[in-house]
Amino acid sequence: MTNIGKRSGMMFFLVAVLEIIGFGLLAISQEGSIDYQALIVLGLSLILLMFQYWVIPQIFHHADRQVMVIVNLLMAVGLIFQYRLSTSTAYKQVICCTLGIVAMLITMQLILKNVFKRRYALIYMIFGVAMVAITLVLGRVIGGAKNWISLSETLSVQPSEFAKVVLVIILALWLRESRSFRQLIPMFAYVFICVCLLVVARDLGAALLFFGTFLMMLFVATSNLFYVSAGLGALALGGIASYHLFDHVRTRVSVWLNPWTQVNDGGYQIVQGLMAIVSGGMFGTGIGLGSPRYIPAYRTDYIFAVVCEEMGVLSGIILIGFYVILVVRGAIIARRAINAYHALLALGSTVMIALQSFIIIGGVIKLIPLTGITLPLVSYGGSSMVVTFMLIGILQAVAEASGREASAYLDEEEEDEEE
Amino acid sequence: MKELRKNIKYLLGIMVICFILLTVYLVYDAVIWGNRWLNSPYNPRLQQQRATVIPGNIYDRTGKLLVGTNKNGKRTYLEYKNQRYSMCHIIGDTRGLCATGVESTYAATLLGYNASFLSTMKQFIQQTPVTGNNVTLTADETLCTTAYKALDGKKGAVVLINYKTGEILAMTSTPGFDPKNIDDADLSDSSSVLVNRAIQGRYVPGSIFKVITLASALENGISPSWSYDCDGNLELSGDTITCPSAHGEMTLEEAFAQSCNCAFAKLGCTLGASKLVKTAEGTGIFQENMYKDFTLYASKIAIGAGSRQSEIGWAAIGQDKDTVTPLGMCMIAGGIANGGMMKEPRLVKTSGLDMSTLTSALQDTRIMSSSVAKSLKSMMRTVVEEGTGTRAAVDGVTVCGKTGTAEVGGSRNPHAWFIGFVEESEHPLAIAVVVENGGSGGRVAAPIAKKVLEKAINSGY
Repeated sequence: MTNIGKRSGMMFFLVAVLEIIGFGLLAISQEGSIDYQALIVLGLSLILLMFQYWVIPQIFHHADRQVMVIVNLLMAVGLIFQYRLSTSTAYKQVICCTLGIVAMLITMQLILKNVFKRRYALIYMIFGVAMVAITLVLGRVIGGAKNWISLSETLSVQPSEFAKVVLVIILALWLRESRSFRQLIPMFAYVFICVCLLVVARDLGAALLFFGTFLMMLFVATSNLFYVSAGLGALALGGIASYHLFDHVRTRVSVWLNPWTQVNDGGYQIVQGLMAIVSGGMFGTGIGLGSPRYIPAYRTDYIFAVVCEEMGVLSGIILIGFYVILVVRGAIIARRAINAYHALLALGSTVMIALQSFIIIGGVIKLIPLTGITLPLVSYGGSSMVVTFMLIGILQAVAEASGREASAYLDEEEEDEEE
Repeated sequence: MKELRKNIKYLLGIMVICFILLTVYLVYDAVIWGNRWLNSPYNPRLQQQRATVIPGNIYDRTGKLLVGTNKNGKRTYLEYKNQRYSMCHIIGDTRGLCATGVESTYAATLLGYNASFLSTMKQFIQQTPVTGNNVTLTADETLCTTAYKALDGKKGAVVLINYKTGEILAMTSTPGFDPKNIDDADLSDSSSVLVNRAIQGRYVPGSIFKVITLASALENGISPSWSYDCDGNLELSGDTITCPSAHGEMTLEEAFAQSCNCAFAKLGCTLGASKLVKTAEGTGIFQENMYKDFTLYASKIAIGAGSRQSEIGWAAIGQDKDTVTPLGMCMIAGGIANGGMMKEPRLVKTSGLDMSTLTSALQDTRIMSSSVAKSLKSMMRTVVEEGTGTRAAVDGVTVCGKTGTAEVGGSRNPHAWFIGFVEESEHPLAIAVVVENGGSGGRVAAPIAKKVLEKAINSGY
């Protein structure tokens, strides 16, 4: 612990250096005057960082430091870019991150206290479906997808985001013990309903994310390749069916195959994104020197293209590397978990974040058809930020629980030796 | 739980592979497509740059200034209309309407968008206005103008390359536009002035395709003494292929020199579709080629394993559904001249500080064995010496070639074609000429080739 602690201290320091350089450059980028706003946001970011470095380990001794470092790195990149794009969104992003950290701590406590019980699973399922369905009824359309609910002029939330956390918990609760086909039917039904509702709401990214996470967890829990191939078959069938049923799905696919034939039309966003990515070259134009505003959704879904333009394709690769580290740590935590339930929880959270980053980065670079979702921890967006932190909270709770058990075991051994 | 841990390991492997895929694809985007997307006329960053930057000059290979910038920041062009029209498609325009020109494909270089860090710093410190980098073409303005004049207002294209280096010495497509007055040009015209016919025009090849059929026959062991008795008609699965008149008994060489349709349709059927297609596709022009400086459209050969005899017959004489690009055929002619080795074409000699155009290796393609190339060369020599291509002969050098008169259906005149090359290695020139609905290849296209080749040889190429 001490060894790791020291090493991660160094890494936290490097995150702080990144933030200082990033915001420092932004503060002096205007000629002749210093932008004090940048320094304020820098201060707030450093407070968030220090809080996680000093306070969280006091409460949760075994929280995974490397996950914390990666989370903070991604968050720092997000904050720097949000500030570079507009001052007011940067402040909002700071608030979102703060809320996210609080949500993370609450989630950790809930998981550690073992609040979620299998016998209430039906209630969680109803809650999860309600979260998705409510957007269909009350939601308004933003960016082609109906997934926002306005609470007031300035505040809108995306309840379907919260259904992600519910999904991970339900899958873990259910798959912990139920493996036979008959026992799995209610879960299949739940996932089916959620995915259908998301497709109807045109939130294809979320639909893909839900189904992908479900499939991967199903495989890990049951090792049943028949289920997985049936699931993939269903995905293919569903894909083909929605291709024929929905206009917007057809547009997505044709735009993916050749966006350049529809440059001023359906392909506008993806073409602008691709041109932004390559316009920076390997090393980027330099932060603040690119032209991200040509890309629709530059703050949210397309933040990856903005990072590539201003910090270079190389930084894009490094960003992908951060997610890889997060995924590897997540898998290690899942393997060390104290029981199957915890292992599935940790794995579900990891898969959810991994898949989400894969879907959006893959969409932006035209590897797969573009479906609009946020880049975890980097994109602007409160609901997404809070939910990602909740998933991280689940992961950290699993790490904490296994750490506690291991140290309890060590303590026992020490006592044995003393005797 | 043990099973679970094992599965987690597998799943981790899958996820890591997915992320590696992302990285590889991102690098692929940046390296393979980077320049093309950056220089895209749709990229608003370059248009934004245009407002503040003095764009670089464009020179021809002799150092003649083709496009410059005057004091007011306006682009300046050559003095005479013929000169401007003759190179309009390889220069392009500042609005990116004609996207094949270097104004578009090298926009980032000309506008200094990807200038080196050092030169940017130098300009910043010296407080000089930002200037872009210059681009030097491989083309020679006088040759382009000669070709433009030789086309004499007819629709078509002329391409002249150096078959030893792949450099494009002249590339002219008509009708063109005046880059100086691009705003006034009538772009709604059905003759599509913005299309560079040399690389984007897909024409029925007619008899010039017999070069490929002949190469395939020689590759596949059919001897030059193969003979055929032409009576003017050939029945193939219910379809009739005709010659203007009965050629009588001929060897392969004579049939090629007289461009006998029946003999070559028969030859194609003897070879079969798969061998013919294999030779054709071996040249590489039957797929879209994204060269460094431009994209050469794919030519087409529309036969396969299940084709009927008549379809193979028509394909073997370049009629019906085959289409080719002028530059593609020019490259094949150059490949034959170069002993079967086809060079990758280049349009830009140097650009900015980028030395890669000078040093980077050209992609050579072996399109046929050197012995086949040698036989083809001698047969193509006969075409110009005593066959259909006599009007392409140039005094002092040996011109080899093949004419084509491509039927386009209906009552329209056929396309006139000539492809050929100068045999002497001191003048490594290969040429392709097409005149849309121009009539006979030997009477219309061959004289144009002669004029351009004469000018090139007199200019010392």
